[in-house]
Amino acid sequence: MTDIVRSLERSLLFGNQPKETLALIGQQFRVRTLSSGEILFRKGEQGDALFIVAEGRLQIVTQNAQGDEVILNECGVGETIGEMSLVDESPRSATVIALEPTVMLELKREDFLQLLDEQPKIALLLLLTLISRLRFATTYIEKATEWSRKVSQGDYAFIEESVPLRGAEEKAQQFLGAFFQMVRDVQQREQALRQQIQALQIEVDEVRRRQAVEELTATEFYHTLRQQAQELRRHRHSGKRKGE
Amino acid sequence: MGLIVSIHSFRGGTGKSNLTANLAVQAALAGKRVAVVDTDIQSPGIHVLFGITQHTMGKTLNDFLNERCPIDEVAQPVKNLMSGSYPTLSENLQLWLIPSSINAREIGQVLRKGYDVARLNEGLQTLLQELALDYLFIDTHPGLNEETLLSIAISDVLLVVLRPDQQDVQGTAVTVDIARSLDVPHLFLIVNKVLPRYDFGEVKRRMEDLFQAPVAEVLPLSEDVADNGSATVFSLRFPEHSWSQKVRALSAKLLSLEAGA
Repeated sequence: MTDIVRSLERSLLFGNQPKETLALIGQQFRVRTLSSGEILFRKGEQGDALFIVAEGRLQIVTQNAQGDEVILNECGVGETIGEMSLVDESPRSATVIALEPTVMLELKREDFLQLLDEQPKIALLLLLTLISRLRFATTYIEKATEWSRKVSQGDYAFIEESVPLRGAEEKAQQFLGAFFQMVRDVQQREQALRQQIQALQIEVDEVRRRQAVEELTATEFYHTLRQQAQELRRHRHSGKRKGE
Repeated sequence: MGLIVSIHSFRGGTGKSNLTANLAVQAALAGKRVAVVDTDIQSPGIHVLFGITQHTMGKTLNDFLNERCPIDEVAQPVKNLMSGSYPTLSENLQLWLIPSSINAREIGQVLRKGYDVARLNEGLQTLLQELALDYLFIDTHPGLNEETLLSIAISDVLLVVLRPDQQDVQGTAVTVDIARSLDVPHLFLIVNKVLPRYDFGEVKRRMEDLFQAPVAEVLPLSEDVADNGSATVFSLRFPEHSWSQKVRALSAKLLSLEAGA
């Protein structure tokens, strides 16, 4: 049997709350179990509940423009899923699948609203969570601006400093994922071009070069030609076009 | 006094004749008086671009070299040759071609006996005078035999065409040294048939670094140009094509040069 209060204690959303508050909140949660591969919800479905992972691991996936599945993130114990739809009832922005037998704590919207009536400070708590995510997104927009500048200057070092995506909202993750993929692709193409040009073994064998030039210029023909050419050039350009 | 522009490449297959024909046509379209001499007597080819066949080829450079006729009888006005393909070609186009014989016996004779380099020089100087040329383009034979050395020696401008390839580069290095030793006033490299996926700026930089000589243009290996198969002067037939635009830019660079320098 899952201990709801203990799970809430380990959660990022409610972890800082005193035990009494957690006991109160805990009453509103239902336990939901998923077997491995089971879908929690699909992208586009109406969102009407928030989930906290009590045990197990889940994967957040979406589809790109080509219809291929793109893995956005993984979610583990203590993390929260779907808190935005709890407030605005927006459709789910991604599909969530259990990667192993998983236990979720589910808070329905109506129960949540009732909880807010009884415990207004819960609203503040949620607000803080949402703001931190907004800040995270804003920070990354600033960073992305800086990274774009670096890319156009050919500086790709920032890719190596790995980017912590956890905690980002799905759309932000999607953006960051696409952004980094783009930068990696651009860098790869640029490297490939450089290599191709380096692979064009355009080196001159200076010894052979000197030998060839010496052979060509050592002849009597060449000496005469060189003298004649000099005279010819002097003569031609000091002369006038016929008829002038 | 007109300028002699030699187009040379150390090896065959660089697109030298194709470039020569296109540059000559562009210069003529710009209102210049232009002649093209095919001195590649061992393997002539530029006549094909101007629509000459074995049957329509009149007197050739070989006739002049063998003292069978004066040089001006060999010069054929190109507008006559191409009026069938290009009815809109300006009547005022001042462009002549001095073709080399494609007769196997004549080529064999040159290969066996060579020819009088001094007479070739005399013929070229006469052409400049008689036709009052602004530009005399010489399509040279690959390598550095005596005829080619002469063409380089008397040139005001030498365009060395090369592909970004080891053998072309080695030969080009020798040609560049020879051109400097012969005091050619203007030397330019043209890197041709470059794979479009290469960074052209980088190719230009590397070549200039390697030869310490300016690269006038980096031209792509174009399927469209290859598809044209030397059947026509590409920049005349497809003036809006990006390849043609590059050739026009190259031509403009050439026309801005002055004698001597």
